[in-house]
Amino acid sequence: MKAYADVLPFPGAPLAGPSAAERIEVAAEPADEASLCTAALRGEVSAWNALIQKHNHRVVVALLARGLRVDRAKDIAQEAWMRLVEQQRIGRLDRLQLPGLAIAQATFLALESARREASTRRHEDVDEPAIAAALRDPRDNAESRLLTEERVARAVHVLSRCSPSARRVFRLAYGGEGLSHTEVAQRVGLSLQRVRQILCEVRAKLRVELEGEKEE
Amino acid sequence: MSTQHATSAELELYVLGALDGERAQRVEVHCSACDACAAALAGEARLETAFEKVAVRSVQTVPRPARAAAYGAAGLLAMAAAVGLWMGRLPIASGAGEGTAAASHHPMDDGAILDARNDALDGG
Repeated sequence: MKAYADVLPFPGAPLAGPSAAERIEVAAEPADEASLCTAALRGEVSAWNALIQKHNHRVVVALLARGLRVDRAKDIAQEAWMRLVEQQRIGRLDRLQLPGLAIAQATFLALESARREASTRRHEDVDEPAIAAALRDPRDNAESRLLTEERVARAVHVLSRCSPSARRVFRLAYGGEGLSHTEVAQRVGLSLQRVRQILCEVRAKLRVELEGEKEE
Repeated sequence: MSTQHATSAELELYVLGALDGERAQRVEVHCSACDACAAALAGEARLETAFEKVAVRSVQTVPRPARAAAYGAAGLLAMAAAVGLWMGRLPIASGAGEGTAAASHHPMDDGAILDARNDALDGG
């Protein structure tokens, strides 16, 4: 992803070599995800670097979606990757499914951090249920889940009315494979710019359904 | 912090990972200190995660036209089989309609249809 000029390299990895932009292009090559994960599980630094370059942005966006500030989100994402690498080093990582695993690790760290901060501010014994309630995602209740389900269903319907090529681009970009936009472009035979243009068009259509009426 | 707020287009491109390094950094620096832009960025990020749900769900959902066509064809076959049996013009074990007709059979209906069919045959 090209979101950052300072996307973190593998901890301890040398920074010498190609520029950040060149490294991104290397990471975006069709080197398949499975072989990268296999190599990372063997402890290969270059594979970890490629995976971090590819998936870090989604980890950060997932944290932003939970309401973290961008600087904090980037710090926690970095820590999540370091934890994963450490778990691999000590032999506690036997599978690597990304970006899901990194997002789960980062979310856990964000909650832990919030608990610590809440505890420090109170200067008293932690009432776990109260903190848990305070930390719970405000959207995470039955009523709003139902609402979200309804909106998702409507968005799915709107998506079904988009062109077949737009649907394919959207599903590749947001499906579970964790493809970068460059990889999506290679799969569908379009330019990266065209893929992003299509995504923006589809986003605009679905945004109305997912965001609903603006609150007054 | 930069006093210039991030535009909605910039925030959208940021979550898409489509901003170049310099512009992305400007958005990050500003959103780290501006509540309004941080909230707008969080909104874009939530939308991004919602799109993942939509993509997964859209693959799981059978398109409506295909499903309607399938139901329509099954309904027509069942109707044709029922009419055919009632009129005594189809053999009991006919080919295409057998499965769909069997699914909606009621023993009493079968008996009535067979009686009517036999009466018609006897009378003819």
